[in-house]
Amino acid sequence: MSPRPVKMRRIGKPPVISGMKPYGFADNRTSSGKVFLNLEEYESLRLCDFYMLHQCQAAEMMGVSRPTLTRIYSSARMKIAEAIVEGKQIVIEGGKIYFDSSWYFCNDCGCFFNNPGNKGNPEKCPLCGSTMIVNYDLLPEMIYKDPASPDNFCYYHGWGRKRVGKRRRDFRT
Amino acid sequence: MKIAITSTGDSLESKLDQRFGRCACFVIYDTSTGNIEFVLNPNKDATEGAGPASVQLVASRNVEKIISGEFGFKVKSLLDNLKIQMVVLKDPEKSIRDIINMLKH
Repeated sequence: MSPRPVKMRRIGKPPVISGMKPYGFADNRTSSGKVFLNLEEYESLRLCDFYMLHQCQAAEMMGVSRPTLTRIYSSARMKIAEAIVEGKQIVIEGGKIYFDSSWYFCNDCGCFFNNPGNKGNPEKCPLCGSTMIVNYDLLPEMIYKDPASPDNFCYYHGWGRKRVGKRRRDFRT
Repeated sequence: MKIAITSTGDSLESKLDQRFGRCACFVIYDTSTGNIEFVLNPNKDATEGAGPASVQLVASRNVEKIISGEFGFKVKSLLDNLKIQMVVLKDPEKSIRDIINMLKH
């Protein structure tokens, strides 16, 4: 029997680089191999370590279960540790993923729409032509979701029961 | 520009279908000529893969925008690659005539 197919993982934003190279080897080597970091592992690092989301919030954003996210995340950390310790190149590629293009919301007709292919922000709603459009981004909502509030209590994952002593980077500008 | 709208029937009075892959009918509206074409969806009762099959049907008519109530995740990634714009309108009471009038803004 074939195994259950892997779920597609949602990637919010593609990485700005396609990899990283080490420099200044102690012995006069020029290269020492590559580590292939999947895009889903990159995304788990971006959400968990850069935006400091809880793992269940990150899992929700990537469209996978919390245990799966933890597996992806620990594999990402192992690969990065390997790259740093052994001086390997990091190549970010592959993975079973899809990109979630940015979405907008029209305040006039209440529709959601995306803007594929066209660079820059759209000026008017593609349905009613109104200019009352706002960027609909899930990430800020997730970052500033107050875990102490009873509304945001997660019965399944148990977060929100008490404030977790995790320091949050402040992204508000 | 051609726009596809998912519909529950093949008249202008039918309502917007809240599903994309298994909608009853696609309305293809051409903004430059004002032509309205009704295409019955052969994937209406498909058990599997209705979304991608419907994308193929719609993309073969060079549609640039699709209006529906919901898109599945397979469809979203396909449409992203094809650079077709998705418009999600969560209003099952809107008729096709209303939507076409809105598009004439």
